[in-house]
Amino acid sequence: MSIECVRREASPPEVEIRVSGRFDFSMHRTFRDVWQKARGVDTCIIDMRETTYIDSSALGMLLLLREDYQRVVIRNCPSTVMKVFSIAKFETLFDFA
Amino acid sequence: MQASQVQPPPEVEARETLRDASERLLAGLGALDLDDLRGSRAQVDRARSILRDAITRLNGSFEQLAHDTDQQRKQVGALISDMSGELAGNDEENSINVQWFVSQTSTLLGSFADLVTHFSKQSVGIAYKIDDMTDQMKAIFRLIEQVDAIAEDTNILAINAALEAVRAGDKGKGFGVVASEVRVLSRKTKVLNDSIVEHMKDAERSILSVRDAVGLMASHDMTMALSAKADVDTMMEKLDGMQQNVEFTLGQMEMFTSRVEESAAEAIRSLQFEDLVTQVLQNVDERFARVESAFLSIRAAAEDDGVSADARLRGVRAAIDEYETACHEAKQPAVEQTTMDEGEVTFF
Repeated sequence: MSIECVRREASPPEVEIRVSGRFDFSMHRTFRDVWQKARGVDTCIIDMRETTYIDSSALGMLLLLREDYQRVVIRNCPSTVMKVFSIAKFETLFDFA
Repeated sequence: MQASQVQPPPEVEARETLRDASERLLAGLGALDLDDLRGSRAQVDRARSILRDAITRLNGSFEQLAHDTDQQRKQVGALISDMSGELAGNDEENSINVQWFVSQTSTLLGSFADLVTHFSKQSVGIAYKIDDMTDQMKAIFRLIEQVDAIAEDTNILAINAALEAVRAGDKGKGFGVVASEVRVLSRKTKVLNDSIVEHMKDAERSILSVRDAVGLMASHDMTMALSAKADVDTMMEKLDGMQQNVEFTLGQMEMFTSRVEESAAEAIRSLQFEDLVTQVLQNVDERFARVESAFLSIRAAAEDDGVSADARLRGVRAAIDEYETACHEAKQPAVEQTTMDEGEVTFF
């Protein structure tokens, strides 16, 4: 499991966080460090193509991250992960691409 | 008639012949047999009673059929409204509705997922606060290390001061006392620092175990909720299908029941032919009665009771006239009857 972060100075600038492997509580510290370092842009993109599993703490982390950005896009979501987002009604809170 | 005998005059012979014929005719009429006629009347009567019995039974059966199908239709109707899940109605508590139950379960699962998500957000938030706290503690540890270094430096300075005091001889004695007090102070500072570090480390361990506990609170496997939701969704789909099927079948049943009801009503209406047939039979019987009465009058008139053949023949003639008059009178208001569903037929 790992977290990578890329900041793109496009217009408008955006930050992309890529989460690989199991996205659970063991990642909470790293995840926050990454998103807080990239603060200051409006849009955050979470790329989940490498994510194999999420639990409820990941949902909690994403909800907290959302408070620091105007727009959060979750993309390349595997279907098993998408099912968890659906049951938590995340479609109404995040943009999915 | 023998040719050898004396021939009577032809008029006398003719009269004789006529009288013989009249006598034979009157004898025949007097012995008229009415058994067949009476037998026929009895048969007509029997036909009437058989018909009446059968019609009564048929009527009973069809009325029962109509009543039963009405009950059946009512029950089917009740079943349909039950199946349609009309729960908003009055006796919500008594109604058992599977679909309602399943949808409640689904709602409950949704709220459960909401609750877990919300709770995890709160827990992760607390974990982040604890992380901040441990960061602060690490900063304090670094400050304590600096205090430690200062105490160590103070100690070395005191040792140096003590050495200088010794070198100064008697004049440095007082200074030596101060230097040794400073060393004591620096050592006390060191002990105090160590004690602070020890307590801080205890606190840090406690805080980290709290963070781990919060981490456990935040971490819930969502797969169970997922499979439960999938099960509920599948059940909902199946129930929907089943309900549609049952509603369709019940609808069909209601339609067929209505048709049976219509047919029974039609059958009951059709059974009114009894009236028509009874009237026909009545008419036949009346005719038979007239014929019988005429036969009786003719027979009575023809009977040999000492009256002349001429008078008896007149009596017979009168009886026939009487019968014809009766027939004529009966014919006047000709019985006209409409058939069940075809044109008119006149019974004569």
